[in-house]
Amino acid sequence: MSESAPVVLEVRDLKTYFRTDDGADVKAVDGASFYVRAGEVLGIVGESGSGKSVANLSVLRLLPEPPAHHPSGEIFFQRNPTQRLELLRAPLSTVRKLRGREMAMIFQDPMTSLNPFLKVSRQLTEVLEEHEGTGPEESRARALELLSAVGIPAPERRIDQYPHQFSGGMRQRVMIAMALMCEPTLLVADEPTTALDVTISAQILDLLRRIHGERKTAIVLITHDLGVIAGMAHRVAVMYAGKVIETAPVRELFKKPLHPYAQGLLASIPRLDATRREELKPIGGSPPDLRAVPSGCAFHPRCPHRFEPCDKKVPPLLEVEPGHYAACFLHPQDKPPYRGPEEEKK
Amino acid sequence: MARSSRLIAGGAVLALLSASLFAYCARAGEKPKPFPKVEILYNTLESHRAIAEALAQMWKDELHVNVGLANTEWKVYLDKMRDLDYQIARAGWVFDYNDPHNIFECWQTGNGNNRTGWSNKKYDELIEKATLVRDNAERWKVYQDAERLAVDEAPILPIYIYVNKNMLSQKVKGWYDNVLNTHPYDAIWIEEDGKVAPPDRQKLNFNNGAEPQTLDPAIMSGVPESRIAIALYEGLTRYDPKDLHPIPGVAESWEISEDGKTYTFHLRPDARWSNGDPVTASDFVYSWLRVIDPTQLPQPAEYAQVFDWIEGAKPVIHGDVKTCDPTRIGLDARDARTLVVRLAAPCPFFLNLCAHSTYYPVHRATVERHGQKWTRPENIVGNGPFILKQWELSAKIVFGPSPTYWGHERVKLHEITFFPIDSQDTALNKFLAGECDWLDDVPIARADEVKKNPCFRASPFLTIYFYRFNCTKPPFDDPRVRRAFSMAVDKKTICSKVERFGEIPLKGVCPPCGNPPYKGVPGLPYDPEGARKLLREAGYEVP
Amino acid sequence: MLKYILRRLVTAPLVIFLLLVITFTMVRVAPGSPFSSEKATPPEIQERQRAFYHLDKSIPVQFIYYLGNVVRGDLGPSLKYKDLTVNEIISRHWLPSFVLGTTAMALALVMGMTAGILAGLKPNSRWDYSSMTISMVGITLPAFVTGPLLVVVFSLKLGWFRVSGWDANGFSKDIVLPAITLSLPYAARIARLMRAGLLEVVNQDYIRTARAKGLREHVVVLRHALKGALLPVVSFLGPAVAFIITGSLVVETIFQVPGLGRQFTQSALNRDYGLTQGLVVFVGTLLVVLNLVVDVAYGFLDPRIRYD
Ligand SMILES: Nc1ncnc2c1ncn2[C@@H]1O[C@H](COP(=O)(O)OP(=O)(O)OP(=O)(O)O)[C@@H](O)[C@H]1O
Ligand code: SF4
Ligand SMILES: [Mg+2]
Repeated sequence: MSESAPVVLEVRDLKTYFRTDDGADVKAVDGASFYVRAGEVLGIVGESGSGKSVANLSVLRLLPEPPAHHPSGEIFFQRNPTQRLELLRAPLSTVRKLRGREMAMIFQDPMTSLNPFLKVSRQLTEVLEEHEGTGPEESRARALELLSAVGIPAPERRIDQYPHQFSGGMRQRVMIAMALMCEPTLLVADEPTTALDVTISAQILDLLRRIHGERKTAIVLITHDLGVIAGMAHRVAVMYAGKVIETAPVRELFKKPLHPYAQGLLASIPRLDATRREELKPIGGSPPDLRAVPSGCAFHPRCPHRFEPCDKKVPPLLEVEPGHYAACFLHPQDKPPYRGPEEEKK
Repeated sequence: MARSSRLIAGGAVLALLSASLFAYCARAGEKPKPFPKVEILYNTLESHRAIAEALAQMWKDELHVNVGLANTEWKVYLDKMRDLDYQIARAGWVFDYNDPHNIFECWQTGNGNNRTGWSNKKYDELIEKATLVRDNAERWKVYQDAERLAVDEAPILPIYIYVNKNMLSQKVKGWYDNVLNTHPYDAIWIEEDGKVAPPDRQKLNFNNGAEPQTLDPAIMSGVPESRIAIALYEGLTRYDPKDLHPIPGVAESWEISEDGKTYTFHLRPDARWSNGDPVTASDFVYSWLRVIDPTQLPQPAEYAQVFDWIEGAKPVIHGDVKTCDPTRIGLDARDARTLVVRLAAPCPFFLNLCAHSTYYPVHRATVERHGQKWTRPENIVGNGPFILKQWELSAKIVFGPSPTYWGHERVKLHEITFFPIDSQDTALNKFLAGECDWLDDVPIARADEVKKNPCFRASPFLTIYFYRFNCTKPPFDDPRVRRAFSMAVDKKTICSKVERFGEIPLKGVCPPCGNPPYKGVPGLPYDPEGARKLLREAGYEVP
Repeated sequence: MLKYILRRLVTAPLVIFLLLVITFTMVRVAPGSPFSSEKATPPEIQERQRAFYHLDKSIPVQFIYYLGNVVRGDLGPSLKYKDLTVNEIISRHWLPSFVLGTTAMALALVMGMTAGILAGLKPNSRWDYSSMTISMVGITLPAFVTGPLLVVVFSLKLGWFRVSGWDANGFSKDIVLPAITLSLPYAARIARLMRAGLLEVVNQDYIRTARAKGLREHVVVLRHALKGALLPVVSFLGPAVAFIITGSLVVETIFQVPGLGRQFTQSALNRDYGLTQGLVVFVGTLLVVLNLVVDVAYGFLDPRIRYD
């Protein structure tokens, strides 16, 4: 993974708020920034409710607007070497044409994410038919090819079955096959293994790894499981209360987490072992109420190192060490601020 | 033996005397008791409820009696009436023929229509006696004596005489208001621009209000059926369309014997069935025996008792004689055109009965060939002015003139359509839209709208609205109580406020009817003070 | 599936038999006699009438006698319409009810589904509010209000249609007003069910998946959302169709449609045992068959349901 590979997706200062009936906003994503390069795997971790899914659904514009709205933010998507699109303000029809074709998404629950009323064949082929106008036979051939590529035995028979005739792992394989129908440049996998049991989840991760190895698709991998991150991602972004509070190459982060929240996350793992799956042990205290996020550093009510400025000012994301960014007053505040991939390159 | 029986009789008399004395003393010394709560029974309709409420209010106000209302469904209501399972109940009576006898016989002891439990020997005798009186004016005097008894003991509370509520298109002519609301179609024609309309527009659309239960005159009983029957069949006599006196029908003339018990009818030579066969005296004998003899009809005839008057018929009809010997029934087809009828008693209104649907003839060969299906349009044969053209169940029945009818020349209507519309609202709308030319009833809820319409025709109708008292159970087993309840009712208010079509308060038990018109007795006055006095006399406390 | 249908068809007669036993007994123990009338019929004659219809026998004997006829397809005589058999009454009244019912149901489906889909796709929009308000009115306004209203406007004022009537020869414009009156409450129900079904389905994960695939919105709705959203409508349709094609008392009375709806109530009020029983057998059979059709349709729509 070279530092010079083109940036496929860049999210800058994204805010995604949900308007509620009483007028208050739920600040699900509140100024998050991250990016992913071609052929790179970006892991996003954070406890439940930190805004991982919302941030990525915002990228594909899959959130109903209203109630979702974006007070700020830009999302750049590099379609090809010459075309870079800003998705947040683009017409929905433009974004729709990218979905499934250039950026695909895999969801957490394979049991509910496939349409129970349609045959698998239909759900696979329609992607090609929609985007490339491929005829039914060709689409079916491609679907069969991908079904066997994701490891579904007897695809000829299975393709004409309904989702309820598949097991959970097999369904997730179907989901992956579906996401790959048009060979997208970006794949967002939102906790693809959380709903599966241990051995199946390992198989799915192997599959994802293999696919990434073969196709060099850029992947955003959202997960609770730091083990998954360690085994697969190149870089990590840690989210807390809708913000990225630390981001760094995987090795750096595991070696030396800078933010007390990230430290807490890592401390809760007994061993670094890619085959062991470990849930994040929640850090003491409860996640913040997104309707009234604590002032200053949102983590301060739970932070063991909290000190004087923490509840007054929001700590900026600074490059504390080369390529290693963190938002915490514990570290020197004279470091360069996060500027996205272009700045980093310098 | 003789002595001992006399002894027993004497003892009994003594016992009775002392018992009544005892009862009298007991009552004299008794404190007035509060009047028990009573309940009015009525059925289904909104208008019945309105009247029941008005009565309850009057009894509460004037007599300080606690009155409840009980609404039941029609069939249950009928059962309760029959079983005397009520205290006060609403009732109505539609006359079958234009003669006071039709209502007076109801209050005879044991009459199926009595349903009050009231029994008065003197009254029964007077009604029997009346059937022997041949001169109507004389007969009315007997009825007046009887009516006085009934008014005095008040087994029923007469309320009002109905009005006919017809809506009649102004183009319909030859249609006359009358107390039976019966309108022979052979007299009716359609007029356009002051002239008789051309044949293709001689069409009458009429709402009959219900689907007929049968077209067989022997077993029919209702009004919708009889409206159809007068088109399809003709009796020995028929009604004059204006004043309803019996006029020649199939019989062109008749003689009545001195004792009033033998009628000799002479049939028209040109009376024909719709298939061309002549109508003969033996057709009548066959048709009438068919009703009288229960073994002949496939289905029992509900109205068979109208043949009770025929000599020898009554025991057969009522099952006292199991097998019917036709020779013992007073019917004799002397020749094809002479029918001799012998009556068990001189029935003064027998000629009226001859115009009644149960007395209509049926065509023997047709009935015997098709059985129950003989009334179907493809089979039916009648002898009336019209023939059945089309019968669409629950939609319409269409008639055209019968070319074989003896009075065919007289008949002007080219087509009659009967609708069985059971929604008065729909019927009225249909009339207003010009789809219907005659309605024989209108929705009470739309009274004001209807009364403004120039097509609306109200006239007295030989039907009465009244209440029955259950004379078998306290408190209404006491005539004083019944009278008190009757005298506390202001019938004028009910007619003008509750019913609003010009109903006429009914004073005695019989409305004016018959020929010459029967004049009833005055009836009980509206006298709340007198009513309270009566209740006190009966031993009840009245504040 | 075939086996399931066969099994259901085998149990159907049992259901109808039970229905018949209950009706047969109920009509006979209910107070009131078929032969009572305002004017008293002498008891001997009533006795004769009872004997004619075998009502003088014990109920079990009557039932066995009746069942024998039913098995042979003869529903016996009507106690009220003396010239007709129950078979004839039903066979001459079912068609108008059926034609009116199916027309009204088709109308209700078109109106209800269109309104429901449009409302469900844009919940809380102005369109949603107005169509749901109209459907609320449709549900609450009974036919005895809408029917006469339509008559006043379209028959009396405008003169477009007859006030009442029915063309025995089949379709005519007589059907318009009764069909609209009959369809309105059903259209309203369908619209609400359709909307609720869509709202439920639209929040399902698989709809998000469909959108994530970049499908156009109408493909998402028609291919992915509609089938699932239709399930509540289909389960409503089963009994509703049975109900609507066996006739509506109110609509048939207002417009004087010569259908079965009025026969049902009238036969009960008249204590016409024969007709009531016959109608129960007829409608019962229809209900059983339609329920089966709905089950099959359900299986057709939802592959997860299996019958075996
Ligand atoms: N439509 C919505 N309306 C209001 N709030 C929402 C909506 N969708 C999400 N949220 C809120 O936004 C916050 C972030 O949700 P998100 O699903 O992104 O969390 P997450 O990090 O993916 O958590 P998990 O690990 O549980 O998936 C949550 O508090 C959630 O309740
Ligand atoms: S800024 Fe303060 S409160 Fe926030 S993580 Fe750092 S030390 Fe803790
Ligand atoms: Mg999530």
